[in-house]
Parts: sequence; structure tokens; C-alpha cells
Amino acid sequence: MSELVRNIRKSNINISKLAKEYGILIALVVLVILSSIVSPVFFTEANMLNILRQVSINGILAVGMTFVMIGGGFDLSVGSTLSLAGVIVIGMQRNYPVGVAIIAALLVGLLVGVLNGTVMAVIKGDNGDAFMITFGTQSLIAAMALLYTGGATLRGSGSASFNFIGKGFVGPIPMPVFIFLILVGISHFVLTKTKFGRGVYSLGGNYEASRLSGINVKFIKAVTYTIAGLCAAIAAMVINSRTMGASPIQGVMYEFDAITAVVVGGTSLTGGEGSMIKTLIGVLILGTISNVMNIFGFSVQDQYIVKGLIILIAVLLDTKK
Amino acid sequence: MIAIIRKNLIKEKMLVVFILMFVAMIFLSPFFLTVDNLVNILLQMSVYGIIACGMTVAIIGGDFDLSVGSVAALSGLITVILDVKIGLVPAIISAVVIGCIIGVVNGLLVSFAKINSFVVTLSAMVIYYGFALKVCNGNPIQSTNDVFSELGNGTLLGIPYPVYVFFIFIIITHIMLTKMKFGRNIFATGGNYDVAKLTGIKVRLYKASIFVFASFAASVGGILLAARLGTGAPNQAQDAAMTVVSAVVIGGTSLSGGQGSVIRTLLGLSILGILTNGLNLLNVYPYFQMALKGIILVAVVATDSYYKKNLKRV
Amino acid sequence: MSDVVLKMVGITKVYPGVKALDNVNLQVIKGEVHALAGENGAGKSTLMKVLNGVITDFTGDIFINGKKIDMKSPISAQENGISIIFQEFNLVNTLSVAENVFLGRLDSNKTGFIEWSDIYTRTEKFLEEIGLKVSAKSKISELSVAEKQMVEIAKALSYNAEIIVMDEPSSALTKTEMDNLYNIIDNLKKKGVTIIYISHRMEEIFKISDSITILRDGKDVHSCPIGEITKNEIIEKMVGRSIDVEFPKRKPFLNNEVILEVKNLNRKNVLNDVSFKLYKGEILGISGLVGSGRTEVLRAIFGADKIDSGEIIIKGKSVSIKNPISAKQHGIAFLTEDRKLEGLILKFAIKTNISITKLKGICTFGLLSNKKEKDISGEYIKKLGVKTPSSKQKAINLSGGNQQKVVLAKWLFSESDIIFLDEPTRGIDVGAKFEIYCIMNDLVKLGKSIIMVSSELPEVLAMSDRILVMHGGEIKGELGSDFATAEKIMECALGNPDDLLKCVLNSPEVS
Repeated sequence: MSELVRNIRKSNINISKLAKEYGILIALVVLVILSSIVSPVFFTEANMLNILRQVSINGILAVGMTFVMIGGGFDLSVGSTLSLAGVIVIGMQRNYPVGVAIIAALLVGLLVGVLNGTVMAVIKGDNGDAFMITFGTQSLIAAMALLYTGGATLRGSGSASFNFIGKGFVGPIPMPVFIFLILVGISHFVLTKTKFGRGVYSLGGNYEASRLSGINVKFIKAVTYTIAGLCAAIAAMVINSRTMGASPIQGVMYEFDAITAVVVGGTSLTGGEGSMIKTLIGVLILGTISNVMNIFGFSVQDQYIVKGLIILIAVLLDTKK
Repeated sequence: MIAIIRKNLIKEKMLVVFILMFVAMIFLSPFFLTVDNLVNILLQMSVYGIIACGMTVAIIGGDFDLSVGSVAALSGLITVILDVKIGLVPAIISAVVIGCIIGVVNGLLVSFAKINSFVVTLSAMVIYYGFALKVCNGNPIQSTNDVFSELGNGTLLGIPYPVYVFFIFIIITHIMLTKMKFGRNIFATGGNYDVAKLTGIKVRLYKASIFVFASFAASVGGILLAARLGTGAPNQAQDAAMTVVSAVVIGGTSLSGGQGSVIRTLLGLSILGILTNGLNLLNVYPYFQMALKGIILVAVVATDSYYKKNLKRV
Repeated sequence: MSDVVLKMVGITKVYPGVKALDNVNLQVIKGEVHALAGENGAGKSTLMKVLNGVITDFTGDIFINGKKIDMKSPISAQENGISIIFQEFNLVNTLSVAENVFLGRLDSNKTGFIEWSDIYTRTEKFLEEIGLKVSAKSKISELSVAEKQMVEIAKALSYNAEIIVMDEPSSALTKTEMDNLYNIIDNLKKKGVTIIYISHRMEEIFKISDSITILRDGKDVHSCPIGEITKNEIIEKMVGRSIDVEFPKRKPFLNNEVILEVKNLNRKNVLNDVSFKLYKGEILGISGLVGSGRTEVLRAIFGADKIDSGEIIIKGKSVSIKNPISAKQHGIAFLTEDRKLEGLILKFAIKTNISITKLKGICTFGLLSNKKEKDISGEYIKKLGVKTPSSKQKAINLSGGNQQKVVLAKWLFSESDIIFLDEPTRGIDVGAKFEIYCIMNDLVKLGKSIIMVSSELPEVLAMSDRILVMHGGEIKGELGSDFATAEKIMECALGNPDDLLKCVLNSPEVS
């Protein structure tokens, strides 16, 4: 008996450590269970599929945001990038084949990311600078989207192949979810198994120490923002192939949801920590909460308030850690 | 003698920029140098100018307040809504009080709970936007109060009331920052938090109070804006934070804290004011203006940060 | 009848793993200059932090003018007449001189409004007293190091300080500025102010102090009037054991292959025409006062800072090193002065810190391998004797010595031939220091070449084959290890040697 107690005591240390690492996973499970109890509609196939579809957009953005935040930065411009890429991919389909439009949109995302990344790399900006600078590019890109359409909302694409992105299925999985999960998989692999991924963690953990250890910090920083821009473009294509229309202000405030998902998932604001799996869980938690709020008829305004509170609580808990 | 002038000109390059812009505009548009237009520029500057006074104090204290736009909109809405229920003056007072409470909450979270001010005020921006949407159910609310409209649009000796409020704010803020212990301690807190603490300055209190002042200014600004427009709406002053930070930095106040002045902010506001006015007079598409403001913020913050890093190493 | 103005009795301060202060007693007489001497890490700063109320959990008592004082915070220290001028100044750079002197006390009349003219006048009075000729309105950021120091002194005076503690005040001053400082101290003495002067420079200690207390390894080993002790005795008591025992024996160095040559390195206001050679298998020491440019030389060669002009020649070929990445590619390693801020990523595991310099080395088929990382880091942990339960341990949890070993490990992993060490044993306990010296010897035996910047003279003297001495961004002296002594180094370091001693031992050219 004492042997057993001794073994449990030894493994107790591991349990509390596990709890810290996977606490959010437990939180998600608890949340799902509670929601199912509270609402009969929650745990139905239709609703589950609904949640997954809803989270895909934010999820794709969160994937890119995770790279940036692990690297110690912030990107407040992904929402505008999403708007711009969206109106371009739809707008160009009027005169160009789908493939060209898609490439153009991806290029837009890439270029915005390069712009952000280059500025941040050159000025060796810290956390605070990232906020301000991407705040500025957010405005710039949003303006460009408005300029492109003259403020109007564009009508959706008639191309079936394009709309497959948003409406199609891969087996039982909706295409947007499929794209999201693939991105999560690739990104997780990159972060954990490649030299570049390790570089992102290092740069976020201690920029100067990494620089003095011979890590190409400027390049890696720039690339993280580029990835965020690219993800924004991909997310745009998913939205605009589903909503059958592209509005130049469709992405407003989207960056906030993405950052919230990453922070809730447990990635630290200071950089150097986090993982794609954690972001995935954060996305799901956020999505579940949104879904439950919808089921209970919370208005859009209430949801704003709740979301604002969530990120505050998540950061508070992170600071207490 | 010339060397001294040259040295000062380089130091105050923004003043030079301002003068050049002013002169350029005189040539570019015949409408520029008219009393009407100049008064109009001042009027346009007023609302954001008041908010900028608050932001200046926050930045000198070493922090930012991104929620000023939402607080402004919320305050305007509250005033319009409560006006019909309890009268204009009580409504204004309530709105300002609520604004201050928001500032206290922000301040406590940053100063005592030690949460990054970006995150706190970014969340606040979202939360109070939500509140604003709630109180009006998503729809702008018109004010039917003539006195309120007069407050926003009436003039005294040819100058609109909001401009007077703006200048009063500038004067009060300037006096506080330069002649009062309270203001100088904000400089100390922002300049070197630890050293200030060692000297016995109640740094946590000061750090919290800059948010109260920022929200207070945002409230007043928002109320005046609603008065001018005759409507309260949740998406008013949405770009206030960005515009105001730009003005502060353009004026020459560093984002790193511990230095700056509201007079500099006035300069920054004037430059932005002439820019906006000029672009309007020249019929430049409003979206171009938005893009330009974004570029300016990026350029201004990037330069400030770059010089901050370079100065450190030497 | 001399009054004892300060008595610190039985001060003990324990940090996890190390006793910073062990039953220290200090007695200071009113109006004297009391020198506090000791090596780095002996406990001088810690003792002063206790006196200043920065460190509050300690055992022991403090008596001021016979009264027992409960030193709760820096403010209570101030109220009791104690002012400390630390090496890193407690000034707000963005504010003016006057505002710094009166920081937190700007409204004397409690109205909340400031009488600026009054503040400026009062500040100018203090500035005049100490002979600082700058305007009370000038910003701290515009002042020189010496001027900033004097602002701190003015600040202390404004608090009617009875006891002023100066922590290594002359380390960054020119000779003229130092003389000025000594004059000020003299004037302060005349006013009855007591000075505690922390320094490790013998000349200065004998010039200005009345008595001395020597600390070593957290204990007070000796106190006496300055007339009752000689310089050698002080050094002996500071270092505590004869030099041979503390350092591993070294084989005499014999090689004429130049592995690194630096020509005319220039960086405005920082480096002035720096040129020297590094031979293969040698340990080249660089000595000098703080601010003389030693670290800057290393950083310049390593590409960490930009240089204005200069040539770097490695193994005979002229190379261009624009950043640490290319420095690493050319086989240079750089262990920085501040291992916590610049050498390690504290929140990462030991193994992650080690692999950072050569991620290729922990890859299988191009992908990072956790197993390889664990194995390789395990090897280095064993080789270098890092005391840790596993390679997964976070770097922040290690002691100073073990942290330094991890930094060493990461550069060994990168297989660099030229290793720069900047204060390699700072803040490390004696046992770990010895281990690091042994590692250094092993490295040069393997054919690697080391440049070591150090402020610890015994270390420089014992471990270097040659010593360069810098002052004001220039190389002022080059001494072979047989010819070098602490005094000679100090002389060059202070910037005015009577003749440039250029003795190079074992160089084939000389013989």
C-alpha cells in the first residue's frame, strides 16, 4: 500500500505539470460537456459541423498569427489583408481566369506580410512597435481594399471550381475545415521539426541572444509576418467562396479573434512559447463559446463584450503563471 | 548665430514641416487661406485634439490607450440617450463619469494586475464597442436637443465652442504637465519606472491615473463630436486612437515615455489637420486619405523606434 | 573621541545556493573616507544594498549614530541620511538635472504646483558646491558619465546625506575627472559627510581613504586604518590564496601562426585605430577599465556592432564580417558579458540553448531530431560538468557557473576555432571558476585560440599568454605574461603609462 502511495506521490509532480501543459485541453473538454448538458442542440452533427466551419476562418488566421506571436510580435493587419485579398480574388475573376485571381490574392497576402515583416525587421521592433506599425498598415490596407471596390460590395464568383473552396467537401469534411487542418498540420511540423521553426521560437525567446548566436533573426521575423499575410489571403478565399460576395470591410476586427484564439490556447504574449496544437485548441474553445452564445441568442454586441473579456482573462491567467 | 538657428531647426524639424505645408497650401488652393477654412480646420481638429491631450499624457507616462475611440463613441451615445431622460447637463456628467470609470478599470488592470496596456486597452476597445452597440441596438440615435447642437456647432465671436474646449484642454494639460507635481511625476514614471519608485513616487497610482485622464479626455471629445454631428453612433471616432497617436508622435513626443509636451501634440495635430484639409480641398478621395494616414503612422513609429534603438547603443 | 556614525553587525544574506554575506561587520567613523574593497562577487554591492534598504530580508542589525534602524526601504535609508551612488545611475534620462535632483520632491509648498525658479536656484547651489558646470536645466541624456555622477552627488547632498556610498565611481572617468572627484570628496569630508568608497584600485584607495574594510567571499576578512596595511597585504586578503593554487598550471605557449589579425579598427567615439594579432593556441587577455572599449572590440570583430573602418584577417585571408551569422561561419564564437540577457534564452531548456548555434547538427534527414538534441546536449553536460538533473532543465534554474557552462557548451557545439570570452567567470563561485579555467586550457591544447576580456586582474595575469591593455578605445599596452604585473596593467589602463611597455614573450620575432 505504501508502495502505491509512494508511486502516486512521485507521479503527482508530473500530474500538476501535465495539468499546466494541457490545462486548456481539459478546459475545452469541460466546456463541451457543459454545453451539451445545457443545450440539447449543441452536440448534434449539424451543430458540430457548423462550429468547425465557423472556426476555420479564424483558425486559418490564427495559424499565421501563431507564427508571429511565438516570434515575439503582433499583427493587427490580418483582417484588412483578408478584406483586400478577398475583394481582389473576386474582382479579378471578372476579367481573368480563376487561377490567376487566386495567385493574385495570394500575392497580395504575401506582399502585405513582406511589408510588415520588412519594417519590423529593419527597425528591430519590439512588441509595442509591432502593435503600432501593424495598426498603421491595417489602415493602409483597409483603405486599399476600399479603393479597389470604390466602397461597393462585389458580387460573388460564378466559378464552380472557385466556390468549391468554400462549399466543397473532402469526403465528410467541409473544404474550409480541411484547409484549416492541413495548415495546422504543416505549421506544426514546421514549428517543431525545421530549423526555421526553431528559429522562430528562439527569436521570440530572446531576440538579442539569438542574434548573437548567429540566428538570422531579421529574416525569420520578416517571414513570420509574411506567413501571417499569406494565411489571411487563404482565409479570404475561403470566406469569399462561401459568402458569394466580397465586401471591402469584411475583415474588420478579425485580427482580434485570431489573437484571442492564440492567447487562449496558451501562447504567451512575450514570445518564445506556444504551439500550433495549443492554437488549435484555443480556436476550438473560442468557437464553442461563440456557438453557445449564438444558440442562446446572445446579440452581436454581447458577443463583442464577451470576447473582449475572454482575452483579458486569458492574459491575466498567463501573467499569473 | 546662423549655427544656432540651424541647430534649432534640425531639432524642431516638424515645425519646419508645418510651415512648409502651410505655405504650400496657400499656393495650392485659393480657398485655403480664408477665415472660414482656417476656422474649419480648427473645428475639425478639436474633437481629436481633446482626445490627443489624453493620449499625450498616457504616452508620456509610458503607455498607450487604444480604447479612446470606443470610449468617445460610447460617451456620445450615452449623452444623447440620457438627454431625453434626465436632461442635458446630467447626461453629460453621467457620460463623463462613466468614461472616468472605464479609465479607472483600465488603469487598475495595467498598473496593479500588471497586464500589458496594449492588451488591456485593445480589449477595452472591443468591450466598449460592444456596449455602445448594445445601448443603441446597433442604430445611430439622433439628438433632438437644440442646445446640444448649439454646443457642437454654435460660435462665440466667430469661433465654434468645441475649439474653445479644445484650447482649454490644451492649457489645462500643459499646466498640469509642466507646473504641477502630479504631471512631473507622470514624466518620472514614464521615464524610468524603477528609479521613480525608488524615490518614493507612487508609481502604480500614477500609472493608473494616466488611463483615467485619457478616458476622461476621450469622453469629452466624444460628447462634443456627438454634439457636432447631432447624432450618437457606435462607430464614431473609430480611428481616433490611430490618428491621435500619429499626431503625438509627429509632434515629436517619443513613444518610449518620459518626455514630450502637449504643445508638440498641438503641432502634430496641426500638421495632420492641414494635411486632411488640404487633401479635402484638393478633392483627394477619402480612401486615399485613409491610406495616407496609415502610411504616416507606420513611417512615424518606425522612425521613432529606429532612433530609439540607435541612441541606446551609443 | 571619534564618533561611530555607522555600525553594521552580523549581516548575513543567503540566496538559494550561495551565501552572499556571512556575518559581516562594518564600522565607519564620522567624517572619514572608508574604503570597501574586495573582488567581484565578494559582497560589496550586496552589503550596500542592505544598507540602502534595497535588500530587506537579511539577518543582522544596522546602527546609525548609535541608534538601531529598521531599514525597510530605500526611502528609510534616505531618511536616515544614507545616499548611495550605484554604478548604474538612478537617474531619469529624459528629465533635467534639477528634476532628477529633486525627483519626487518637486513641490516643497505642498500645493501641487511647482516653483521652478526655486528648484533651479537650489539645484544650482548644489552644483556650485561640487563644481559641476552644467546648467540645472540640461537633460541627463546630454551629460557625460562623469557629469551624471556628479548629479548623483548633488542629489545626495540635497538629501543632507550624512553617509554617501560610492560604488566604483572612478571606473569610467578620465584622470582629470577623477582628480575632480577626489577634490569633491575632500570638500564633503570637511563638511562632516562620511564616505564609503567601493573600489578595487589600490592607488586610489591609498590616496583618499582613511580606513579600509576588505570583503572576501561574503565575509569581512580585515578592517583597519589605511596606514596600518600595505598594498600587497590588501591584495592578498582580497584574493585570499596564492595565485598558483587558484588557477590550473599552464603550459608555456609557443606558436607563431597568426590565426586572427585586426587592423585599424575604428568606430567613432568607441574604438580608435585598434590593431592586434591573435596566435593559434594562445590565450590573449584584454584588460582595462570599464568603458575602455574591450567589449566593443570583441563585438566589432564579431559583427555584433557596425564599424566605421578596419580590416579583419582570419587565417591569412581578409574577411568581411557584417553580422554574427558570418562571424560564426568564419569560426568565431562570442561568449558575452551578460550571459542572462545575451547569452542564454532563460526560459528554454539547456538542450535548446546548446543546439542553437548549429541546428544542422541536431538534424536527421534535414529535420530536427529530439533524440539527437538530447544525446548531444547530454554529452556536453557531462563533458563540462553542468550540474543538472536533465537536459530539459530550464536555463533560468541553473546557478551562474552552470549557466556559463551551458553558454560554453553551445559555442563548443558550433566548433569555432576562435573563441571570445567576455568576463567568463563573473558572478561564478570559486569551484566553477576553476573548472572553467581548466576548460580554457583544454581548448587551447586542442588548437583553439582564445581572447579573454576580464576585469579580474588575478585571472588575466594567470591565464593569459599575452595581455593587451585598453584605455579610451585604444590599445595602450601589450604585455607578455612573464612581464605583466597588476601595477603595470593598471598604469596602462589609466591611460598614461610613462612609456608604452611593449614586451612580447615567446614571439619568434623578438628572439
